[in-house]
Amino acid sequence: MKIIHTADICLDRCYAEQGLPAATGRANRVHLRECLEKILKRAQAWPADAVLITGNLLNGEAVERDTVAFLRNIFEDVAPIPILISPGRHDPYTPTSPYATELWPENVHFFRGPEWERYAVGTLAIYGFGHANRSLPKNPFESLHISEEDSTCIFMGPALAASLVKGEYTTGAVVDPAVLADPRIAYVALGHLARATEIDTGAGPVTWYAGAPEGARFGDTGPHHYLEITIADEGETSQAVDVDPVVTSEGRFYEMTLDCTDLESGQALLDAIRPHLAAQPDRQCARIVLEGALLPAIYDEMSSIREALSEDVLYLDLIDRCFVAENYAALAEQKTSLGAFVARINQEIHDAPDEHRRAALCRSRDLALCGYRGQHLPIRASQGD
Amino acid sequence: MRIRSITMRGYGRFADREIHFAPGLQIVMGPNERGKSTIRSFIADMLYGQKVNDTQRVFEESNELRKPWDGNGHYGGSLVYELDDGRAFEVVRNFDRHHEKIQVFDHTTGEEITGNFKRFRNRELDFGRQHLGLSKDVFLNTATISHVTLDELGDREALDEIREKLLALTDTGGGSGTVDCAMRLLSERVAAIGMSGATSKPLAQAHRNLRALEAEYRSVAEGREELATMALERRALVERCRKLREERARQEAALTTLEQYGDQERLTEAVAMQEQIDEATRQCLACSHARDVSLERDNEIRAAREALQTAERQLENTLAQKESLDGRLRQEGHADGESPSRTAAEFPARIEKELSETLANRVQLNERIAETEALVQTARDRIDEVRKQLEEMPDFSRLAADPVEWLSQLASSFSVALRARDEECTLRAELRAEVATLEKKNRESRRLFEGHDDFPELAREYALQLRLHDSQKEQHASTLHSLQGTYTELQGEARAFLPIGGACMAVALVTGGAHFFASVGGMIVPMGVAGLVGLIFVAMWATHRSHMQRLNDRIEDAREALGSVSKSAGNPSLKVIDDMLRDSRLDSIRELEAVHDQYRSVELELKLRRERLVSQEEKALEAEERIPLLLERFRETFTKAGEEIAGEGDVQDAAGRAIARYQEYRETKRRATTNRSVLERHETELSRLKTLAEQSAAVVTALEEEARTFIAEQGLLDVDPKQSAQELIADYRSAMTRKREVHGRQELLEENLRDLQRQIAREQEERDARAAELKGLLRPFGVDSIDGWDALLADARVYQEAVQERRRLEEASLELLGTDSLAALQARVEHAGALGERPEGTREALREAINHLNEKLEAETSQEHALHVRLTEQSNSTRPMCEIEEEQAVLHRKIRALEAEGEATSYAMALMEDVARDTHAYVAPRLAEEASGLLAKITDGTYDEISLGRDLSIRVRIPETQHLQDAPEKSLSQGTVDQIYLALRLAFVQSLNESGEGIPMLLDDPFANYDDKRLATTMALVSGLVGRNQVILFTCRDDVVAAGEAQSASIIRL
Repeated sequence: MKIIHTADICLDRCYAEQGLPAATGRANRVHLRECLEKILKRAQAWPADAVLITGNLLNGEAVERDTVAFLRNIFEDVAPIPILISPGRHDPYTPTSPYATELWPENVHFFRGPEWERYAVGTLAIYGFGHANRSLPKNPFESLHISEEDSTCIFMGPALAASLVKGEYTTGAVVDPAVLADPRIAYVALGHLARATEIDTGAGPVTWYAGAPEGARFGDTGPHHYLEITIADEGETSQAVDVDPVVTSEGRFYEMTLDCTDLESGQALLDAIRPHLAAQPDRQCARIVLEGALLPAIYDEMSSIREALSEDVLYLDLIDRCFVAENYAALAEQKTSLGAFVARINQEIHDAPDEHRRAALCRSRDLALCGYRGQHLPIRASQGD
Repeated sequence: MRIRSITMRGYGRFADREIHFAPGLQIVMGPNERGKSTIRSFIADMLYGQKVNDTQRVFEESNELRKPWDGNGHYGGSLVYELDDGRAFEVVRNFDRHHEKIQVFDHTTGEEITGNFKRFRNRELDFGRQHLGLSKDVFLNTATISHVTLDELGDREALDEIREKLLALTDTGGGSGTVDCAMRLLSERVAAIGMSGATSKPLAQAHRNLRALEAEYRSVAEGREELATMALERRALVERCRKLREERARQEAALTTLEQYGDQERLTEAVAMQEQIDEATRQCLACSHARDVSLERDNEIRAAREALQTAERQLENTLAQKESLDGRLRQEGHADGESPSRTAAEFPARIEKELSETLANRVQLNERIAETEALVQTARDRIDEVRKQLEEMPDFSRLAADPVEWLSQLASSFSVALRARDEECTLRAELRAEVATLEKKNRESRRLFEGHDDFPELAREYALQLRLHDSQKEQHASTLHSLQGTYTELQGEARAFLPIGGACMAVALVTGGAHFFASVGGMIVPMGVAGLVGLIFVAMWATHRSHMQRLNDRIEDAREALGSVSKSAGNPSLKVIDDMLRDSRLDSIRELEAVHDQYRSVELELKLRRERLVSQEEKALEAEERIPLLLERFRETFTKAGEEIAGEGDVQDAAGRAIARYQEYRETKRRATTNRSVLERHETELSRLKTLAEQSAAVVTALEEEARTFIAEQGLLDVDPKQSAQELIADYRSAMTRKREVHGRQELLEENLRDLQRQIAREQEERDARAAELKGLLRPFGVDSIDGWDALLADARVYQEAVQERRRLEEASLELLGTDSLAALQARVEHAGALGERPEGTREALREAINHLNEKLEAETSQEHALHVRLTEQSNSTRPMCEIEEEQAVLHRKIRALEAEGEATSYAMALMEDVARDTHAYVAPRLAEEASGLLAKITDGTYDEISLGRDLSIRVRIPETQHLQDAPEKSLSQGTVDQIYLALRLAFVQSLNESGEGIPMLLDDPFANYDDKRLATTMALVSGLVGRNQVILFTCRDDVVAAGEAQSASIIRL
């Protein structure tokens, strides 16, 4: 049997937390659709016997109608391959959920509640559950039951592996490898983690998180996958399970921090950043944090630098945390108002209770110096518009 | 610090040039363009380098400008300096940017100590700042002092400019701006952000946009709920559609069962029909002999039989008609045979027409003759009447050829004469009135000025005397006033003297009494003194009194003189004027002269008026005399015309009446002529009419004779000679008419008879034809009679009916079976086997129910589709909520950044202000004190106080007023302003000294506007500074050099 496993796609995801503008968010949402399309095309071409989506196919009930129409179309295109969907915390099967209110093709099946439901794909039995609300009334894994007639089965659903639970976790399902001791269980398809991760179950069944096929935030660097699972019967109740993580994306988000202290010019700054962006064309959303001392001349070129870098990526978040390169110690020793100002604010910076205050004081210092010198410093908030 | 020497290996114009600076005041003298600025620049470059700032290895322009002229490859040099603590250092540099090098050596130990100093990012060493305690900017702006002229600073607000420079030095070391400038920049930044609430600024705009997005989000969220509701509704519709489809399927199954029952029923019916068909077939066979008989032929045959019957009946009728006609003709033949059939001719219409026309004409002629005779008589009567009227009128033909025009002219000329007379008299009356008015107007003036033709001369003399009088009077009055003033003064003094003198005498008496009578010692002197004083006051009082008396006399004299001043004393002509003024009650000679002028003017006008009046009197008289003459003449004339004139006012009316009378006369004459011509015409007409009447009578007689002759010849009537011709003609015509009627009837009957005979022949033919036709129709069927035909026809009907019945049954069977054959239906019924319970209702009802379900399903589907469209449209009409959230997040971030930026700016401003306030408060008094001392020395005490406010505003105490003046430059010379500037700069440098190493001062000809004295004083001051600061003075002036030499300064000449 050939199974494709993916999860946490979160179509119509909102990128407000990442600070992405609407146009970039829109492009990313289109990209998510393309990822799913790519997975389903593979399912059709392979061909897979079933496609498992373990949780959070959608990002909440506020999903757009054209997204639902898109899903219906692509699911229908791969018919009769069954698409088995476990609604997760973010897309529970509520009466007003698109899962309940829309018409889905015949090959789409939703596991509508926290009770295990059996779905047969040939000789393979797939047991699945789903969220009917954000939290589960009980842990489904505490009441596993396999039908007598099943020789090979898969369990699927959004759950957290017990080894990953920190503290008290009562809102979702928790899977303990000890529970999965039945040899008829060939594979456990989980959803909840962002990265494709195999869970060590000891002698238990192969258990994987498929991970999301694309990153969702700037911290999510690195490749993303979906899983191709091949299950071959080796005996009456034993199987050979081979899981092949397939890269869907090298990572759409990228983040780096650059110390600008030794940079002599705007070109040097560009040269320091560009290789990182060019390394992976997938990196379309880049956040570059500039720190350290930045020469005033480079400040003057900042808008050109931003413009040049923006040509390489879809979205660039250039965060300026630099301070103007100056010999503040020498300035503080001047017997002038400027010197007295620098001395005083240097002390305040030194005594700043937190980084936020420190950064604000550094900025005040830079602004004052430019004021004393009659120089212009770009207003920071205009950057990134 | 003191600069010992410099060695310029290659620097500008200098190559391998070494200069040693003496301690104390060093003057470097050289004309312009000799390198003084180059040396100064070299010193600064050696100490601090040629970079723009500490953080970038970017060279200043001077790096290019100061390249050696000779291009010997060496661009650099060395500088040896000594710190206040005695340590000496040498710095060696190569300024070539490709071979840049800096080395610092400790001259005391000879070791290189380059590595002991911090190296900046621009590769410069920190030794300059470390040893001097000043940054490059501060050093350049404080240690280097040039002269300041008002031309540089501007003619006005020079001290403000100096203040700005001081502030720049205090705030930023002079290299940049002041705190005020910085605050302005930062304020602009705050304003640009929009922290102050300006609605057009980025921050306010961001807030506004955010609110709009929040509103949009709420709206979209509400829309989502509505969408969710619609989605549920749609889902419900889908569910209902599904149920409807299920119901439809059930109904269709029931319909199928019913149809199977229907098949069974149909089969039964179809079998019965088949049996009936067989029966009909047997009947057809029995009547097959009549199968070819067409029933339609029966109609034709019957029609032929009817046609034959009709033809026979028609023939009978026609024969009967003929018989009747024969009888009538025989009757008419008898009637015709009783009258002689003589053919009489018609009376000629010509004779009758001419006769009637002629008779009518003769009657008309007689009538016209009678009318014409009446007209002739009337014309004669009128002629008599007019003749009598003319006899009663005057004979105007003897008056004039055109009496009307003549009479009109007469009346017009009289009117003109009357008008002329009236005008002349009116004008005369007006002139008289004007003369009277003017005389009245000038009466008073005449009384006043009559006899004084020389009044103008008198007036001039009078005015002159008056001015003289006024002058004298004024003079006397002034004298009097002065005397009175003096008198009053003396009087006042005198009043005081007497009591004082009295008192003193009293004291003397008392003291004397006390001495002499009471033997009180020591009273002699007071007595003497009091007595003396009293005597003095008394004497003074007496003197005053005498003076007052004299003054009084003089006052009297002055009054007398004043009163005696008279205008016209002894001048008779002036008396005349006075009398005039009095009489006229005028106040001044000017008014009198004005009155005189007016009098003269009126007199002149009066004279003119009188002359005109005389002339006008003559004209008026002449016009008045002419009127009666004219009137008399007109009376004679009008009498001839039969009119009397009552008076001059009646002339026009009389003329009108005469003209009217003449017109009447003329009209009467005209009427007489007209009547005569009418009479002639009527008489001529009468004669002609009588002639015509005679001719007409002759014609009538001839025609009557002709008519009688004709009638007699025809023999139809007997001619009665007593009858008129017309009566005879009428009788003849009546007889002819009767004859024609009889003949007409006979002819008509004969004609009808012939027609009937022809008709009988035709009808016989017709009858024969119909009979033959009928036989022909029957023969094909083998019958020769109608009866045989009827029997055959009955059989044919039976056959036809059987055929039709069979056909009908076959059609019904086909309709019943439809597309099935009987066998197929039987097979189907057998295949269906036993049927279940029969569904209720009929097939039609089920079909209707299915249709109803289909309609309902269609409606629900349509509704679902519409809802789906609405859902799609509504969801497409709003933006995705995630996009709105993303935009909100971007705005939040922007707002946070702007607010942080604004807060950082505001904090910087507050801190800058605070620091500047403290700095200025610290610097100002010290600087002011130091500068005041230096200024006093420079100006030799002339200006000894400079006051600096907290904002370093400069006030100087002005010696003339001893006031601290805010804008002293308005009263200070250029040189003094320069000196104030120099004092402040020197004081500033001194203030820097207090906290650090002594600063070598490089003065660049600062004494441009100093005079010799101040130059000497300043030079002494400057040389006095050298105890703390090295002073290197660059100048191109010999007087400065001389002043320096006077202070034992060392001179280097370039």
